[in-house]
Amino acid sequence: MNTPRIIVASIVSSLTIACAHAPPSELVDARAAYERAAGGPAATYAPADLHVAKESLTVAEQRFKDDGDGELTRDQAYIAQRKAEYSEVLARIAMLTKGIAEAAEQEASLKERNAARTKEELARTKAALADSKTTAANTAAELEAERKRREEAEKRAAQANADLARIAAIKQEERGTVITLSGAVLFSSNKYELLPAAQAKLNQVAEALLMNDPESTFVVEGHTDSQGKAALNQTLSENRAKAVRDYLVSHGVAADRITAKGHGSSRPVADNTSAEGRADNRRVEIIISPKKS
Amino acid sequence: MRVELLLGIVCAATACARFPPPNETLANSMASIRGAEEAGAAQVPKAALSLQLAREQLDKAKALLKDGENELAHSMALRAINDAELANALAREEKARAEAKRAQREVEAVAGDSK
Repeated sequence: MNTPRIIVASIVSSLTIACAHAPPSELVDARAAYERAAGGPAATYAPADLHVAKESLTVAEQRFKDDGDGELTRDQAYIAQRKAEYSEVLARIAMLTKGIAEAAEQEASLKERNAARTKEELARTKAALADSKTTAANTAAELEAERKRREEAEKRAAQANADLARIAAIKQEERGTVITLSGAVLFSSNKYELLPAAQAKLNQVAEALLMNDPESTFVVEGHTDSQGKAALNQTLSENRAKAVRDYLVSHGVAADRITAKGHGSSRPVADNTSAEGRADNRRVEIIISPKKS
Repeated sequence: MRVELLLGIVCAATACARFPPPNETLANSMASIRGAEEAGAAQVPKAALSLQLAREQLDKAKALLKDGENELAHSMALRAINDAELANALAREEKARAEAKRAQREVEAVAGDSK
């Protein structure tokens, strides 16, 4: 009977002792708060305040050891907890402040880079503008050169036509410019081989044709007088036109620009009853058609 | 029993005599509370809580002082000071956070310009 009582008593007494030694919740909280702060950014960003919190906790621990769980111990522990929390807040403020400073720095460097890029773009734009001005000037110069070239080409064409006018009749008709060469100058009677003297004239004609607008086309027409059979005249006129065309092609006139046609005696320009008239009718005409497709 | 009681009374009396009225600590806690208020603690929820605790503790300290509990009043005033300072820091943290966000947005805006 005695033994259980002793046991109970010892349990009670040990409990009492445990109670006497159990720290107040404020101290437990203060220890936890300090541990948390010490393990966080406060160690780096608010070491002085963390140190103050530690000293405050040490005072609380000492007071608990000396005076036990009293009002003053609780107050001191409460204060230590607040100081630990305070150090954490200060650490966060320090980090935010650092972040603000870094952002400002980043912003400044970005602005600087943007400004540099704007400057660069401006320089590029200026260069492009200068370039386009040069191009415009070049274009104007080219236009002027082209205008001169044309002027000269026209002058040359006029000169060639004038030269041609001395050896052939030139008329402006509805169908185009018509160059008429006398048959007697080009061919022997009833033949369609070109006479040697004809070649010099045809050289001049070729030259004149080449001076013309490159888009214009040419038709070589052969004509005879009304003497002899119409069918023979037709063939002769065709062969003559072809001979002239081939000669002109061999002297630089593009083959696809020039065609040959025979009209026989069907298109007289003069009276076939007189020798003079017949001579006029024996002819080769070269018609220049501007810009015919 | 009587001796103990007497001893207690004497102790208390000497303690009272030894510990001077914590007028300065109370004044400091009032100043800290004002500081927290000026920092805008009442407008920041977490800070407002600490500010409220500080005010209540200041009231308790005043009451303790009235009762002649000088040392407890001093200790309670210190609690008020620490809560007020925590409230102050929490308010400043909130401002710094807002400022950091603004700065970040500005950086993003400038970075956006350079795209």
